Amino acid sequence: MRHHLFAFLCIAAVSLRAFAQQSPPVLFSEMDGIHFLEDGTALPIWGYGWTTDGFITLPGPLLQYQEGEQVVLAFENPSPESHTIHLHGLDVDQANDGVPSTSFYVSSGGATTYEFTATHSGTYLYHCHVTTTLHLTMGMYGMVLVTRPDGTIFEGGPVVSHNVPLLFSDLEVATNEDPVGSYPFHDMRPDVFMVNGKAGIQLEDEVVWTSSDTPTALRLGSAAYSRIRCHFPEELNAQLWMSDGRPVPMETLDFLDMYPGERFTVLIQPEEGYDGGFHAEFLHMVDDQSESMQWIPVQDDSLHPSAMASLDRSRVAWFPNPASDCVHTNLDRRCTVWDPRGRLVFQGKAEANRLDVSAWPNGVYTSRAEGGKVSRFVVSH
Amino acid sequence: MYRSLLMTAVAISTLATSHAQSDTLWIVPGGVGLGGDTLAALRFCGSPEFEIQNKSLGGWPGQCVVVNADSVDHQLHTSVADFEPVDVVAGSDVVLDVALPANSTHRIWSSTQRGDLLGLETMIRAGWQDAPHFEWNLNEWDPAATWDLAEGLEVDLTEPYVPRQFTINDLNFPNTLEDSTAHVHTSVGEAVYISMVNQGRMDQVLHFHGFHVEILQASKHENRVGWSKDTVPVRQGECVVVKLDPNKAGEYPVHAHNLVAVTNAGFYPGGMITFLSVAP
Repeated sequence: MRHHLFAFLCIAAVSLRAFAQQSPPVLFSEMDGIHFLEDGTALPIWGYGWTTDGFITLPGPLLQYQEGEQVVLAFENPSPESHTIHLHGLDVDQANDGVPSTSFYVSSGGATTYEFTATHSGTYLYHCHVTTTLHLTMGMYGMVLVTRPDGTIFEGGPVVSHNVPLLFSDLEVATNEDPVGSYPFHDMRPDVFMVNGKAGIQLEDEVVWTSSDTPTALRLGSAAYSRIRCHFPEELNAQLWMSDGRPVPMETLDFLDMYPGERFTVLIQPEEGYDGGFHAEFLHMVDDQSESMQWIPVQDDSLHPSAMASLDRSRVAWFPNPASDCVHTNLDRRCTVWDPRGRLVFQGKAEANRLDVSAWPNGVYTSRAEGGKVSRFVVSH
Repeated sequence: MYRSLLMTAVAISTLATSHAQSDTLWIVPGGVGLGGDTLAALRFCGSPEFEIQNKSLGGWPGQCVVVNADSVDHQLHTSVADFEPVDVVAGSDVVLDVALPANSTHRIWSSTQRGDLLGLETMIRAGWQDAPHFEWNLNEWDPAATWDLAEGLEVDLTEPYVPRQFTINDLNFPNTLEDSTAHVHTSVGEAVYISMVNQGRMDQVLHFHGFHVEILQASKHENRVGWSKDTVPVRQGECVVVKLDPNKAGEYPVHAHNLVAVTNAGFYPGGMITFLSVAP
């Protein structure tokens, strides 16, 4: 009997997993997220996330499709205001364009699907097109990557070892702290400058791993208010191959300028053992004044094993996730946990690596191990 | 003081009516209402009467007469290589003779601070006549500075610049939709050209919904000629020409993706937004 029950549970688990894999992922929007700045400040954000994760991130999740795929992107909006998804650069038809006045809003509590064909491999963006100036700076954006199964970046183009999405953006802390009082929008003065939502020492984790025998594709996109200038050192052997999802004549690069909304595919192929990186400079759109310089580390994958082990040690993993009574951690270190509003709820070393969350309100909690990376878990009773 | 300048301008323009109006640009001061603000302005007009928008020449005849009905002298520049600036004294006129390279779009502007910041600028273009051609003069405005200039004061260009209004052809959204050179009307399979000239002090970048466009000219990004893009930078002073060949019907916005520029006095939506209306 016990064997039968075990077999049944195994079959059920496999079936459920198979069902989950067949179900298209659902993107959702929320307006109660928290993003941690370099100095540890918990900043309110709006944004997108997967319903299976239950929390939003800045930037939103990477959307990945195959060239030629008929995409059905399911979207739910449980947030208190209307939102949309504009598929920036994918040349979708009017109905799926995500512009409220010509397409439609997704009202609070509403859901919809966006349907389009991913006609061209390349790098694209998505963002909310409701009061765009505000919703974008609050964090409602992400990257779309359309790839080819043969590993080429476009038909007849070079093969790459892997793709590295690098989404540049910025925000104004005062706006995120008080979005209602953030008018007027013509005077937006960003003071946080990010790559994949990270800045400064946070980018130490955002290592671009390269292979010395096959180029790595940097998928660059900008949702910033500034012009981004990437300064590529000669050792990276940077080559420009695509812009806005279309091939361009190949150019060898020592720098690349990227304006808000633009995307580029740049291949890099440093020599074996390379350990360096490149700077991304944020430049003001009026006077070219340098507003920020961010360093993106690049390392050859021969350095990969030890580096990856180091990174894995620094991230807290909580399970089960979602949790209702208690969560366990893999990390025997002090950590800090903040509630969905960014308030400190725990600091210290979890006794027996276990936290009692039975009295904690439902929501997404954010944690960080001492000197480590941020991770999240959901409490749901 | 500004009223007296206006009266002077009217008097001068009365004296200069001997020029044929079809090949004459009049430099005329005035004022415009824009997105809730009032601005002092200078415009190239098709007559001695002040017009809200700089006159679109719809191509370039090779030369034209410029009558300066403003109260100060201006020096006219074009972006054409080797063009020698032309002085036009207040109350007088000059012949502006410009040989345009084939298939090119250029800007004309006054290099005086008063002329430049009050918006005395337009575009001239030649070629690309096998399809309809739309013109987008991009600019942005600091209303308070325009009134300082109108009063004869200088603007300190080293101070932080925070414009409040953003325009295509001197209009901001939704009024851009009423401008037949800003609002693109075409049909599926009917290609059009769009010339974009950034007359302002802020870099702009325009995003086309629904379509990629082919870059035919980019005076400050010459390596990009021939590229197919949906997001096209137009730097300060840059002249860009693109070809749009629409493959589907619908209403699609085109707007600045420097998102401060899609506002009117800080309120969204506004500023540099227009539409592509593509009939089946």
